[in-house]
Amino acid sequence: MIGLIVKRIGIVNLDLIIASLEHFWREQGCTILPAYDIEVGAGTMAPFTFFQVLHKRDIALCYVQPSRRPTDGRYGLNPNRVFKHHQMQVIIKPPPMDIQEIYVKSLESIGIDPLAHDIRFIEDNWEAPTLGAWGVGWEVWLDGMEITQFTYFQQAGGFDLPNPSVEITYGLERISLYIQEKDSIYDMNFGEKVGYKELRFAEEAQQSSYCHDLADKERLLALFQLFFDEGAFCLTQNLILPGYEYALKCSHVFNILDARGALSVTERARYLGKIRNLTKKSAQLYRMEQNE
Amino acid sequence: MNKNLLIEIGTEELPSSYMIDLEKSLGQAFSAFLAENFITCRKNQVYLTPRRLVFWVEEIAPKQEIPEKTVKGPPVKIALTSEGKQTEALKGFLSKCQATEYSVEGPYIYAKVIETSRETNRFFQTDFPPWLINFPFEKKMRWETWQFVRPIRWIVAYYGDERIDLSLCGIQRSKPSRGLRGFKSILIESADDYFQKMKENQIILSKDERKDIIESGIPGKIRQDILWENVNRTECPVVSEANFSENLLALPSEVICTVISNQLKCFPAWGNDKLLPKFFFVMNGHRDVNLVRKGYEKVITARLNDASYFFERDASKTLIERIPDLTKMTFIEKLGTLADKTDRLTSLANSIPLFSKDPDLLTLIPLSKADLSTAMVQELTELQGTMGTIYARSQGIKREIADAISDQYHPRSENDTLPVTVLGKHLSLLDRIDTITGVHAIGMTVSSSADPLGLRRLANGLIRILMETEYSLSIEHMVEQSLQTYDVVNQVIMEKDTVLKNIQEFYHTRLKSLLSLNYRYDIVGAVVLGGFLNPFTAKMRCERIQEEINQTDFKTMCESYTRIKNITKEKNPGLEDLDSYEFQKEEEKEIWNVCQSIPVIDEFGGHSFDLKPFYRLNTPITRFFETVLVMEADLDIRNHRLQLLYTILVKMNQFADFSTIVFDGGDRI
Repeated sequence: MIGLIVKRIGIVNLDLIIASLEHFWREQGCTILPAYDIEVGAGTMAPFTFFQVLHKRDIALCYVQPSRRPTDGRYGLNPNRVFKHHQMQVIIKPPPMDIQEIYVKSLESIGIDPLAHDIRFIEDNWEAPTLGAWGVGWEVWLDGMEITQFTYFQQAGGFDLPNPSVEITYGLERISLYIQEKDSIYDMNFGEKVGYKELRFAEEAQQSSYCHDLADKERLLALFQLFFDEGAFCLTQNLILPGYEYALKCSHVFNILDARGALSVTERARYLGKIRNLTKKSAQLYRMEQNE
Repeated sequence: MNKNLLIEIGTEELPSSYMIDLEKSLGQAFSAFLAENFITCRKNQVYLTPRRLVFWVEEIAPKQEIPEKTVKGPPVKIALTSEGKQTEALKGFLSKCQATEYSVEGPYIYAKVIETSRETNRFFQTDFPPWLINFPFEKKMRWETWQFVRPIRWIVAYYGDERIDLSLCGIQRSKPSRGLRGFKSILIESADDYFQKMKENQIILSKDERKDIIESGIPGKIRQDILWENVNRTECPVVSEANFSENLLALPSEVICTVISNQLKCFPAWGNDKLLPKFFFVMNGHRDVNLVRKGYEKVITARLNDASYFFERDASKTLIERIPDLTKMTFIEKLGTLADKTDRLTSLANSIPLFSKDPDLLTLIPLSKADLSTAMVQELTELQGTMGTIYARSQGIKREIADAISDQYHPRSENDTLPVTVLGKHLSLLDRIDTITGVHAIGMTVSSSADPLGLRRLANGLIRILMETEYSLSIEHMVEQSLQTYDVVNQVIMEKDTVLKNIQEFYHTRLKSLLSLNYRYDIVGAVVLGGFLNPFTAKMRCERIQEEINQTDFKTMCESYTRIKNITKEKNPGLEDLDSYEFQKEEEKEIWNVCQSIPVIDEFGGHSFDLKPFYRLNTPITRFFETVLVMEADLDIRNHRLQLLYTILVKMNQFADFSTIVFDGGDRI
């Protein structure tokens, strides 16, 4: 239905791409969730994915996740790279037999004709060391452009997953840039009446200059330690989600420090290890709780 | 009549990096599978495309042809009663091998076992799935409750026009085959029309055919690795070209080529040795080429704009200013930072006369890794060294030093060229010695299957540089010096002697395997006796033996050598007075004189690889053995004779252990 609208009106704003994909996956049986509200680097880190893949029950979820990557900040000056981009995350367990075909149909729903375009699944196994997670899969290329990461989770929180989930992560800006036929992200529309630049440029400029040039190393290190201690404390009390949320806070602070170039190699490894400890512990406790 | 058989296993996209090996090993295993099960056919073949494993058998027999087998049973006296009746033991034996008749040969019972030959269709239905599932795929994944290289999504299986109801990983019975993405599915109703149907639907099963299509669409020389990657990523390759803005040609051409090849997996376009603002891409199937081109042009523009951003950002700091950044960058875990590495290289260079007198080398070393901290190299790691040279030249660093920064990484692979500059060669040698020593020092060694840090490649490059540059350098000396630099900078974790022994074995194996590419195995074995060697002299000695091997003089010398080796048992009698000793017989005096006139082979000085001086011993030694009794009763005489022979042996050993050379007819002397 929305696919038809897309074909008719021709110009597809980012908000319509989101609405179309949400509609599509809802029709496929997914529950559409609001975005998770703590800073993350990727949709996988939201508890909707991290914890839901660990248990044995079926799931089918879809959500848009704003994802912050401080090292990618370019002061709003680069046409493609941004401090914050938007991912659409689809997570399904068990994966339907024709999941690749369903995915291709989802592209059709936003006006991408699979007959005219060259859609390819290119080997790309995915790994997130801080989550103890890895998977087997592909990046999907649309006419040479990477638009989606398509992964069968094999492990999360350091555990082999008994019934692997499929994770489909769309890069919404990339897709929108392509569909709107623009060369710069800042020239495209977010919605009918709001441009991407209007909505996001100032944020990009400020966040980049904060993360690359001004962030205060000492205060951030202190913050990291506070978040870490609080998270570790929560986990000793068997408070899994609060503990995990502090791990995410640590991760964001770490990313800022990293973008600032404030960490030496050994420090870097040490802080990553600390984050991994919290996420791993959370996964362990979650599994124990599920098995009870 | 014999029919054809087809099994197409449709999967989600197979890992392209692994398909060439997989097609080969699966093909061999499939042939063996047919043979072991007594299935005869005219031809069998396995084809791999990104989404299919195709098993094709031409003119396959309708049934297995299992030959009769005779099985030995119990002894006659247990099998038959005195009246000739069958005992329980015999009945049990017969029923176990499903036979009714038996024969008596000598003291034993024998039964003819006829295993039921199954019809081809039924055989494949039951035996093919477990065979395929148990094939040792290198990279399996899990989905639902299954494991295979990638999820299986459809199966087409026909024996002639008879469907084979196979089931694999939850996929049951034959389904239509699928076409290219976006295209309609393909109905197959018989094995015989499979190839025709695939062709009609643009699917090219043969990888060689796909390769030819791509190659013929792109002018000039193209990178083979990228070519194969495209072969393994397409079922119907269609080559086309796309453009980018001429302004982006302001970037170094090395950067542009790396982006086009390594990131886009496309092919750069050249005209009159100049990079053109266009490139070739490969589509999967006939698509709307204008649309696809637009996509590729968007990607290249974004990537090159990004590269320009890195290029500009890198300009904010010179290479020299970047040197301190190396203290923050790890070289290899447990082996310190890159700054530690360049410090070690400086000490190592200072400890070896060939290098220590070269001021340019000592200037180059601290600078040599500085480009690793640039944004460009961090983003495009393949450009390490290349960027160093580009930046160094633009920053007014002496040309020789600038060029050596990229030169040091050669040879990058077996077929790659050596460093062109002397500085590059020297740094390459030092760097390789340092890495190989360090990795061994933390207890990691190369195994037959694992070499994650590419030590073999590093060592092969090192040996090739020494051989081809005709550098007579001892690896042993360099390794010892290198270990000392680790003592100073880092803690060597393992015991030094063990480390040295492991390194020695490692180089020994490398040298042997490299020499064996050009020289007979027995010659290599004779020259590479053990311990550390000087690769250049080892190569020269192999060369000389190979040239001389058909000479009578050479064969006589080998025979003499073997006699001496046998009689002395390679033991040193320990007498030191040969110079002043009065030999009794003329024959003894003669060989002693000749022996003294043979120059000692100086491993690291002048290069004498001449066998002729040894030939001068041939006649005297033959005469000696004819007329002189070595094992004289008088112990003093006997020992001096043995000492004389031992001295000759040691001299000859400097060249080779000639007793292991194999002559025509395969005999060792």
